[in-house]
Amino acid sequence: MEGEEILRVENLVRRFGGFKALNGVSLSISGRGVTSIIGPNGAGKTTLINVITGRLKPDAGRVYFMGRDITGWPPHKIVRIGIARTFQIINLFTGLSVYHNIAIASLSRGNSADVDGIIRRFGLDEYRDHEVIKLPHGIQRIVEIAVAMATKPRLLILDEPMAGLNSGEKGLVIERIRDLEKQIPVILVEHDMDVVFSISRRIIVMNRGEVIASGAPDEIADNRLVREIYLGE
Amino acid sequence: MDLDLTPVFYQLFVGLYRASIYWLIASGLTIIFGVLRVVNFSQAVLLVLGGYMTYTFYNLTGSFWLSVAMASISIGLVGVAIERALLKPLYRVDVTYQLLMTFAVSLILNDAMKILWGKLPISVPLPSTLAVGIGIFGRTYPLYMILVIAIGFAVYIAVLMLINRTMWGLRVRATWRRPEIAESLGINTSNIYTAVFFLGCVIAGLGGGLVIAFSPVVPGLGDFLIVSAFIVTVIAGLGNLSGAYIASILIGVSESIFTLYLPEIDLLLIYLIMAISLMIRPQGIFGER
Amino acid sequence: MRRMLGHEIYSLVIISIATAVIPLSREPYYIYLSSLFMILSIFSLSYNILFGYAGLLSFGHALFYASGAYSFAIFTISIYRDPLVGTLVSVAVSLILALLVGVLTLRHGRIYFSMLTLAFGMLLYALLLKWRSLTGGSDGISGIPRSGFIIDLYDPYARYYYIYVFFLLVVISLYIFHRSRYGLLIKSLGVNEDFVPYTGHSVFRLRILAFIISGSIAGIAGALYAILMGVVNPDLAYWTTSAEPLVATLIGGSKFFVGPIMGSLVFVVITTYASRIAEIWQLVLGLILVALILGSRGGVLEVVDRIWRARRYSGLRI
Repeated sequence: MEGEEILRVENLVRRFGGFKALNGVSLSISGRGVTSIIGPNGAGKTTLINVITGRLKPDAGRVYFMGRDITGWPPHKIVRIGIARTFQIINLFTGLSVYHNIAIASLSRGNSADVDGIIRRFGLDEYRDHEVIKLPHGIQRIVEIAVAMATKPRLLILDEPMAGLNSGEKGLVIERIRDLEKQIPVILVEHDMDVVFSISRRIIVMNRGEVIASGAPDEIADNRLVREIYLGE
Repeated sequence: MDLDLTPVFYQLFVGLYRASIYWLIASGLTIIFGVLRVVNFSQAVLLVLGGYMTYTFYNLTGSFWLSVAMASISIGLVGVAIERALLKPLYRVDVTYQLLMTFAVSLILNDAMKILWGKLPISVPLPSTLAVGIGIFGRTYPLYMILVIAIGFAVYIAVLMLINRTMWGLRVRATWRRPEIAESLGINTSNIYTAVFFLGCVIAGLGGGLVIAFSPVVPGLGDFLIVSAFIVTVIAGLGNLSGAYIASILIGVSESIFTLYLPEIDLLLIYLIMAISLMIRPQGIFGER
Repeated sequence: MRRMLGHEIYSLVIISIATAVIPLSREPYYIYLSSLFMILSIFSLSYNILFGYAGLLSFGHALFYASGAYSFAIFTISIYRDPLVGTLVSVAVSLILALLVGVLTLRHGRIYFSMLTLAFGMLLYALLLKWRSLTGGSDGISGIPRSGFIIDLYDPYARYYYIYVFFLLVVISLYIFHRSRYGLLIKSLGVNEDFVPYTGHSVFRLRILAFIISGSIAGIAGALYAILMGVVNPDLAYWTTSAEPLVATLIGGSKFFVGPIMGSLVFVVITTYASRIAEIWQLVLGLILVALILGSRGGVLEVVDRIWRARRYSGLRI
């Protein structure tokens, strides 16, 4: 299904007071595989994700998912239509168990019988009844992804999942992403360039609220503009 | 046209008096919320306690104004005790528990007043120089009520000046809703909290002293006053000082006019105003600060 | 979410048996207190669905309590004289009211919700106070009939067991709810409301669900109150009445299913005995609350839980 367009974003603008976080962003995601969005801090990556997932409303522009206009939809509706996401700072029901976290998410899909299956698939069996807040950071990140997948999404967006992880934990998460990308398209917002360049099929580069480059990893690596931005960091 | 507006003016006047009393509660609520982010449920009870203390000091000293002054300071000190002992330990915990703590304090104070002063209404006689009326357009207006209205306004201006024109006020404004930034600027926010709480309670104590000279106080009066004070603060916008003053006048005067012209639904209208105001513009008419 | 699981069931069974046998003592005062305890328990259990589960602090829960009580009174006096039908009418009225008020108040943030509930509760109070022709004004309504066409509660023991049956029904159904998927969903609001939409659920819809369940059950408590006392008055809608289930829940512990019930027990005991001694129940309750808020915000049951865990892990026999 290479050609099938999953997500299309047209001329998104979002201001915070006088500051333009998004200045006319357009992009399109088709087919499976990992599309990474990279850029310096303040480039507008998370704002873009927030607009796509309904956390923020755009000042202008439109978002289309599977051909449907979902601009301005509330987050829960967007999850139901098939876009799931994780957060930079771990966002879960930390006082509840892994089982309950996944159960709550799968309940929005009607059938909660799946829960143990999801736990098994993500290798979380030994943590099933543990309170999430007591788990190691890396495991919490995996729980986040499992919870997102429990909503049976058709597009998964991961916002800086590597943040705060050691290399062992990163390895675990990368493994999960490699499994997932075979099933559904994944958008990955990340700072860790090694990870980005090793698993992405396509990379989108943002700076100052705009998309400045988009293409295969080796194209991006050779791109002069991109190198300027990153050398300046 | 033979329209006699005198009763209307008088009701407006009474409304301004009531507004001043609400203001003396709402002002404390506002600055305490603005700086500490705590809704001080016991604000009205502290006003009533101020009234009781004025009564006791009056019996000791025989001087009305001295008693009011002593009572105000005393209530301020009670406030300091509450803030240091009971609220400070909760600053890192959910804001809900601070509110519940002030509610618990109001329960304790309510009964404490009952124990110390009994259940019967108590009042303090007006100083004879003030127990006069001023005739305006054929109707007599009690001088004392004019005085209370003036004091209410004076408190408004004083607090405004204090916060906007002094060095201390600058520190308070820095701490207003942004304590982390204030801390990093080297401001001792803990002391600011206590000072603001002290100030809010002093004003409440003052209100109590003024009230008791005009109408008797009973334990339980606080339960009744807190609702109107709450309505005022909420309609104005939490933390908005000038808004609270204007809102006090709006509510005080509206209550008065409704009581005169629409006694069947006067109470209903006030709560309706609060509900509608919250639903249409939850951040208050004048916005939060 | 702390659950004492097996221990909670034990305590529920004990309470159910204890309240069932109280009338055998033939002491009218104990029967009266036990009735108050059961009614407050129902009121507090309903309150905790908003407070403990959904994280919503309501200052106007007495709205549903009073509407239940008054609709029972008005219906049984003016329309159809039967307590059972009257109770069902109370539930219906409270349910509809909960839907209406919920739609108006639940879209807002938590602070504004709290203030709105205060406004609506007092709005009903004002209505009950002023609408003399319907509600009797400040005098309220008295002489509420106990004898009906279907059920006759003229006998005080019959009244007691009527209240008891509803107590059991509410406790059992809320316990099932507490363990059910909807219970879990509503509790997720109290754990991390911001995250809930990203699991595909609508915060507003979950809140409405919680509010309707909570309101209807509070209505039952109101109807039972009307049956017990035979009179209703506008104070039932005053904000201080709304504070009662809040205090009871805080004392017992909002994180435990049995918490509101335990708290109601403590509340009824203190208000009765503190009143007997020196009318200082507010003082006593206030002091208990201060102690709990500073020391154990999970209420008395959290203290019990801590002691229990300490026993288990240290092997001490206390």
